[in-house]
Amino acid sequence: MTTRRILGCVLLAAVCLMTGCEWIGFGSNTSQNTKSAKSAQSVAEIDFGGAENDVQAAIEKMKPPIRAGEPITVGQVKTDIGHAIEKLGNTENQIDQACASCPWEARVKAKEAFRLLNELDKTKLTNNSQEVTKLDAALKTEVQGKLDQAGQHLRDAAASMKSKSSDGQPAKSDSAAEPSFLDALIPAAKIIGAVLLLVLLAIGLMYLWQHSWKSVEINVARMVTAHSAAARDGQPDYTQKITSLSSAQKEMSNSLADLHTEIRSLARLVRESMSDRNDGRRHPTIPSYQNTVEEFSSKAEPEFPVSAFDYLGKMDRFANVVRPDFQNGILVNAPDGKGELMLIRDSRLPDETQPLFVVPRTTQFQTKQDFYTYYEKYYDCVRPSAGDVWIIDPAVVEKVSGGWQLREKGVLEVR
Amino acid sequence: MVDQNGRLGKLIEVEEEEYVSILYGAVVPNQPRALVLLDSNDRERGVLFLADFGGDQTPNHDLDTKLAVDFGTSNTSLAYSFNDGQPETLRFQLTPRPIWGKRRDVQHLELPGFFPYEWSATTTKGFYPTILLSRRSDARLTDDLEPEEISLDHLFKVDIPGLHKDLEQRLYEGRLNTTWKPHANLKWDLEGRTEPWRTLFLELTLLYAHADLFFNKGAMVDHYVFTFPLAFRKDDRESYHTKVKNALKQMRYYCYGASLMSHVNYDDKVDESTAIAESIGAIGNKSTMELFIDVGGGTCDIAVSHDRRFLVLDSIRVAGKTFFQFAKKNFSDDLEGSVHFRKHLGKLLQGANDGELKLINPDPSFSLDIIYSVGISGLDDQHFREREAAILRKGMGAYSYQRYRTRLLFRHIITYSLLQACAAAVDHRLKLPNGINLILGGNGWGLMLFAEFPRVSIRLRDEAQSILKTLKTQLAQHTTDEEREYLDALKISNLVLLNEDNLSKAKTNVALGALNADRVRAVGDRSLTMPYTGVTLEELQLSGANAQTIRWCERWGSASFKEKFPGVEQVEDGSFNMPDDLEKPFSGVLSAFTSIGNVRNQDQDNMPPTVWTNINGRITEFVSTLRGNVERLEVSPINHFLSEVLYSKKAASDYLDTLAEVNGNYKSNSRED
Repeated sequence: MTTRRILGCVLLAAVCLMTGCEWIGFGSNTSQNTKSAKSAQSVAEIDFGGAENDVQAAIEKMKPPIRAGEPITVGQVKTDIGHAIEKLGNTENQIDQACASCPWEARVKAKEAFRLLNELDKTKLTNNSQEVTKLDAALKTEVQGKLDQAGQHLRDAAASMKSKSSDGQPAKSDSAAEPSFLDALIPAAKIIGAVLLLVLLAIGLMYLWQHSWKSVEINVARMVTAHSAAARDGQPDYTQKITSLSSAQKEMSNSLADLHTEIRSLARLVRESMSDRNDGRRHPTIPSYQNTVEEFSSKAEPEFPVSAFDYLGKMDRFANVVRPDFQNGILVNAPDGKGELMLIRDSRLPDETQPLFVVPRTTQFQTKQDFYTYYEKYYDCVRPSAGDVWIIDPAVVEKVSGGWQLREKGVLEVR
Repeated sequence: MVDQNGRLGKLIEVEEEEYVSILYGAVVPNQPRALVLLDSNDRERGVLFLADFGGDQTPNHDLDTKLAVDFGTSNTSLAYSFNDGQPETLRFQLTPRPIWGKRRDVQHLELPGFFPYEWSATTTKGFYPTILLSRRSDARLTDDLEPEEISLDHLFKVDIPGLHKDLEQRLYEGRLNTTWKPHANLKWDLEGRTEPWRTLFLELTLLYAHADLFFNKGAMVDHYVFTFPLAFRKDDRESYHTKVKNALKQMRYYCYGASLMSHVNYDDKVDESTAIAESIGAIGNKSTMELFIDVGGGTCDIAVSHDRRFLVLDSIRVAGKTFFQFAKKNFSDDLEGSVHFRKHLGKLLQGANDGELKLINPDPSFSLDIIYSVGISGLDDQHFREREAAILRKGMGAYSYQRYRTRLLFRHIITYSLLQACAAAVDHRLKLPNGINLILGGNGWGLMLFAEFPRVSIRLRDEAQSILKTLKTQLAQHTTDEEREYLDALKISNLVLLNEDNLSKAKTNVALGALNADRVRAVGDRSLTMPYTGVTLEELQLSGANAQTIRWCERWGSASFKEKFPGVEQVEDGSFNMPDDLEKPFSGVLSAFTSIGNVRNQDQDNMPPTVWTNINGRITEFVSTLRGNVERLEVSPINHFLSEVLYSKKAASDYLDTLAEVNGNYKSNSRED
């Protein structure tokens, strides 16, 4: 989102900057052209060139004709002279006004030419219909001379104007300083624009690269995941085997504990048998271990209700000390013998085929908080107090991974 | 029960059909000798004589015995010494001897309400959680009971569960709640609910201590030292000592008889900052400044010492409880890394490999800090080390809120302490060729694992060095050229983390140091060890006197004010010049505390300007409400800024959460990629 914003801002800035440059560029050109036109217009207010051309035309008409044809009249010469006067201005004042910005010399020459032409037009050439060839020779020479002088003045005036133009270069360059500064700005703006454009392109490329890289990463991750899954599917799953091995190990551990209990029972039987022999009384037949096992296994379980003392006494060889594993919420074996509960379980039988009971290890409560602190989670008791513990209904557990889980709460009574 | 002098004991019914018979208050030996049998109508029906089993229990009267108690917010520790010898941590070992009937410890099942048969890890650690249980059955045993009304009956209707082995899990699950009500936070009387539980906890502690010293060591206690944090204000301190002395009289009466009851030799002058400093036994010299930082449950106690003279003794309310104040948010908010944190707690306290700790005890007083305290007390050092290493290996997760806040907490503690050290160096014009020797004590440093800081001195030294550099930069704007020389000369030459090798030493040292304190270095004039202002207050106006600027390196407090504002006897409300721009810290020193929270550039403060407006306002308010507020004359403005503003008790104005959010370490949905 942020990248997009940055990209947008850069783009907008670039567009604005470049558009601005164009505006500036066009603006300066327009201004320059306008100023040039104005300058040209002020310079060309008296058309010295045109006037001279008219004077030259009059001079040509005053010359003897090269080919025979229609004769040239004084009126035709006067027309050309009139055109030249018109171009210079009808009065000398008009010449001053029109040529206010002209060099003084040009103005003087222009006025001189005007006076000569005006004299010819008003005083010397009066009969318009008279043929030029039939003019008095002296008048003709005077007219030709004055026309030549007027032409020369006009050429001089034009020359003055030209020299003024060339003399005015510094002034012109001052007035052109702005356009030249702008001219310098334009390339700079273009360079900046180009740099921004490059930055823009670079950001765009990076953005695209990141996106494409992410896509590549995602695709690669997918491919790797797919391959891993395929490889995993192809491999045997050892987790279950390890779990089952772990369970088997625990089973074996339990079996060893049972075996240990069996051996202790056997040892006790042997000790009792030996002591009976030694006390001189009649010795009963010593039961074999096999017989003992059969006797125990065939012994009926005590019926409930039963006092904890009696029950534990009778079920001692099937009882293992267990304690809560608080983290996992289950009961586990307590090899160190530190636990408040006994699990009643015949290790020779599969757990699925026998009821698994959990009973209090203590046979007497000294205070009612014995019950609340250690047994309330597994048993209900209507009125716990100090006294003998009776099991009305045993708590039932079931085998789970790593231990035993409470399935059914039991009932205790204190008598 | 009848004693050997034929005197009948006091019979107390502690619960329905549960009784206690107590032989007490005798000047001469009074061992049990018989049981009187009563029928259901309470008529005497006979006497059952017991065999003589006590043997000679004559105490050694030549032993001059001192007992020191470090009554901590989270944990309590005791120490003793004989004839001014080397102090030792008192580790309870005495176990009950049944005179009739069956021993109830056969099945290793401890029950509260009985003298412990198996002591908790306290036998090796030397401290236990400051938590009390009281029986629900006694309707008079409530918050309304005044400490003066506490009787012998009550003492046997309460218990300290942290002293019993393997009761931690039952406490955690709430299995004891049917019979017992838990009481924590006994040290600080914030809401008037501390008593009578604090007195009962101390009385029971003293009963066990007197019994253990008498029966195991043949000693009777002659001299007592109860340490207190300097963050205790005058009223708190006086009230605390008064109640302790009353409890001592009671206990001496029960144990030693009426003649020794009043003879209480009690030292109420040793503060915890002094005690931790004295416990180290460091040899002060002119070239080194020693800076002691003891991070406990409720307070962090600080002592600056030079050439065997205390320059600053101070205490801030930023410590273990502060940690849990923000840690508990991981259980209710969807914070970055909260699952990691809960799993780490499960691992540390319960040994779970991937299970989260859950707050399952329905009792509201059983909060996270109590669970932690109880859980840790049941752990031996080896288990703690293993689990700590496992947590450090796994880490707290990306952008972890808890890691961010924990790092900031420890950095703030170091920053504050170093600021006081800098002020002391400038004020006393100390050029220290060997720089500062930092000594870190207290159980609080054990929480560093949640900052992903290993408990390694050298790692913390680098951290302290970096903080000192930041501080110097900020202080440079407020110092003269001459003062800058003293500042520039400061460096961290050494750092000792007391719990680096011995986890318990950091806690037990306070009680041990308390016994050294009066022997080695007399506690001096408090005005000479008052904390420094820490932040310059321009043109402070106080009680109508001419305005004076109080500089960061000048002491705070009444004595300082009297010197600064001659003729002013009663401190009235004050005001000082604040700059116009309130959207930044009014002093650069303040930003030293926030710039260290910038995860990208620790030299730049990125606390939002609007927050600074509030913070500046809170400090102005502090100065403007000095009148009649004795507490504020003992707490410097920089202490107030840290303890009450940055670590405000009100969750709504947790400015450091704002800083966490700015730095991307807050709620997962608050962080922009």
